Amino acid sequence: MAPLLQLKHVVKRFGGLLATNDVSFDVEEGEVVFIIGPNGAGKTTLFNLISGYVTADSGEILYQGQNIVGLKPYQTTRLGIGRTFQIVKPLPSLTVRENVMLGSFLHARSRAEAGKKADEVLGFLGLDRRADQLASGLPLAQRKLLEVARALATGAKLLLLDEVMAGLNPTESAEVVTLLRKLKDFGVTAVGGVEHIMRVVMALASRVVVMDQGGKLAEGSPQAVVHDPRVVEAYLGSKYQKGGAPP
Amino acid sequence: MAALQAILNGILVGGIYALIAMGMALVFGVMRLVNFAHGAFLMVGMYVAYFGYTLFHINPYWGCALVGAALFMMGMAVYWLLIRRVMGQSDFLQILLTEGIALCLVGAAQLLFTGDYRSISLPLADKTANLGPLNFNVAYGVSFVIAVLGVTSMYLYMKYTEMGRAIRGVAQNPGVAPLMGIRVRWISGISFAFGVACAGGAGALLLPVFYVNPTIGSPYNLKSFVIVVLGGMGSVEGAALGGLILGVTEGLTAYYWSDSYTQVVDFVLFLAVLLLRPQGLFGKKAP
Amino acid sequence: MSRARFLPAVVFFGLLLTLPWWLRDAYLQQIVFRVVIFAILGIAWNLVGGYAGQLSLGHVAYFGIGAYSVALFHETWDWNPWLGTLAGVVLACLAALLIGSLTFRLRGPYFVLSTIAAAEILRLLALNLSFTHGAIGMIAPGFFEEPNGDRKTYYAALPLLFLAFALTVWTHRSRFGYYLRAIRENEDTAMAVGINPAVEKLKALLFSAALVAAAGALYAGVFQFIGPDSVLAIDMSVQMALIAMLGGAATVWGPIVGAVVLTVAAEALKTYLERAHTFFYGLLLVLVVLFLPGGLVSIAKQRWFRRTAPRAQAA
Repeated sequence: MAPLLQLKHVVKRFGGLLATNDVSFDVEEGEVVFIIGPNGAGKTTLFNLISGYVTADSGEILYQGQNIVGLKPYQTTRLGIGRTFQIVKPLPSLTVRENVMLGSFLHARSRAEAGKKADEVLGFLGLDRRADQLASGLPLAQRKLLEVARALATGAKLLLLDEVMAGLNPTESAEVVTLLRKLKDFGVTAVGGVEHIMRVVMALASRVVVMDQGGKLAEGSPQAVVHDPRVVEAYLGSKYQKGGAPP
Repeated sequence: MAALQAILNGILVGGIYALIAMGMALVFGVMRLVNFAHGAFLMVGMYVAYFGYTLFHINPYWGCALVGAALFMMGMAVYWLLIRRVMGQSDFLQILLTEGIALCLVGAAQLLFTGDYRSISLPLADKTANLGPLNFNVAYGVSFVIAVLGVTSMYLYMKYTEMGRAIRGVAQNPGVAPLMGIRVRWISGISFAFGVACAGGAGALLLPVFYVNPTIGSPYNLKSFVIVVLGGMGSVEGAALGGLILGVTEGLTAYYWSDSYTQVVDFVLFLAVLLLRPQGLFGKKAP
Repeated sequence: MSRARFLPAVVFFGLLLTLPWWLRDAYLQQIVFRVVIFAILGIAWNLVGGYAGQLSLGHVAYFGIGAYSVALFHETWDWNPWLGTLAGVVLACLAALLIGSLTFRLRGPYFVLSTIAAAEILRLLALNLSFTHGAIGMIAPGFFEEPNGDRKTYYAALPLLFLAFALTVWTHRSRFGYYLRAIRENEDTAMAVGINPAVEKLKALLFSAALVAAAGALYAGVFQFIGPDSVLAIDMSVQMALIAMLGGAATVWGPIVGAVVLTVAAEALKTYLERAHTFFYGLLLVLVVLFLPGGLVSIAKQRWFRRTAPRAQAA
């Protein structure tokens, strides 16, 4: 069976800057893949390319075998690609449930059905107690989860999680990881983006893609990547070695 | 030949347009604010010049500097009292606020001066001068020269003074400017006041050749923004060029079609540029 | 609970329906008629400006199309005003399709200015074309014969207000309304949940333009005399926005409250406002933006929340 998502030689330029330089990798169904790279490595651009917020200059992006380059974001969402944003943007004047319903409306025939689907997702992510609260009152960690909930509610099969751990303390990250692990049970394949290789990533990822300056530096299992000399040299070098033993 | 005459007329008006639009461009460039009261301030400038002439015999040509100064103070006051409170809020509220200010100014003028059309008659306005085979109204010519002086001095101010450079700094990168020790609020206030002064000064220059009444300013909001868009957002040079283009377009429209349709052409041009070349006629394509 | 929610609407429309029996004064009846028309305009603007958050200051275009259609089709082909209204609504929808598909590609101030430009183009055409009789304006046919023509027109306007109100109630609770609010907050986020912003905004504009055009047609039928400066003036666009903002944008009752307050205030201050109505509207707009951006309805809501908040937390 073909991979769920395939990137083939994807290139994107912004003016003179090569934001994405000939990047190729596959994501199989049921995997949890993390894209790792320092700020500016091109992770967000990669997510924007896949979800249609920017259009690739050349190369192919195949989702379930279909080339999705040139599709608009709402079209990729309808195909089953959900995403969260680095900066979380819930609708502050709506309740948590209503925010999630924005997602579930996509495949619901009625408001009641959308509400049911929203409650299901909220329950799955442990946000059900907050359902009737205004989204503006949520703490950051839960706002991040709300983003995940909204994307899940669209019936996404592939979930793109941009900087899902940023700004969270270790406890909160651990909670998020536990939830992301359960995504597989929900029939969802996740691609996450993070700045640093963290213990949580090592525990969660089935595969890691390392980005640097717009290009793919390395790819493989977390263990293999950590010990890849190029990765250690180019990216992990300073930060990682100072940090001591591998996680 | 008649077409050349139309172009000359257009250039003369265009010089004044450039001055008006430059004020709009400055405010938009620095504050990302479209001042919907710009035309209303122009109207205020015309009234100030009108009463300066009728009550104190101040000639609007050298009085335009006084009018500009008066409107600068007014702009400062409006900024500190009202505009400041919506900086950083949505476009939606900012635009509604400036629209409200415009209505207040127009309404106040209606209350104070009624809706009557008023004008002054300078002896200059009856004279015609020749430029080769072409001729032009001397009053228009003088207004044009003063407007060009105004635009040029503004350009030099922006380029060579410390405050001018600070203003440009904020316009180019509002996020970084505070880090460089530029007080953005202060600069915003100055820019807004400068913008208002441009509108007011231009109003004084229009007085010898136009009538004034409370609603005279309303087409100038769109007109100046047409120019700002034509010239590429927020640049002083662009506004100067855009003003001339709009003036010439109007001159040619009036000649080949009809005087009544000049504004229709303005607005169609505006929509066309916004939709087809949002970076302006001369701007580089934004990423 | 759900039945109590309908109570204000039942009372409101009950009062309007029985109006001629408890309000005999012809002058006051005329004021109520104006409230009804302004409420329709405010509600219609609220769909685009409130829920979808697109600050249109060119809505008068659709009002003018409605009004001019009644007059033009009557003059040219002797159509009755009902047919003229229908034609006006259809034409307004076509204009909305054209204007919307062009202007909705723009954001922020560019959008606002482009809506004004579109409306101004229409005004200037009406002012200069021969078949609209330029600045002189046109005579429009009345909807009903005398006697009691005004009262009959009032009863023709009520269903339109009800329709507009019902549309808002539906929008407030439906997928459509949630989608519009999502677009207002952030178009990128909206797209991430599968919303095509262009399509949803256009839908809102079509509903809105149809209502405004119908109100414009009624206006023409009642005042029977229209011109570019009465039915295509930019001030009218601002007034629609003011009505919705004053009452509360993106709320069900906001535009109605706004229409009542604005009309009654303008009428009460009429002796002073003879020449100062522009100033009055401007001042009101400034005050609303600075001190009451949520509108009058938001005051009532805050009160209600303050009263119920402790209970909600305990639950």
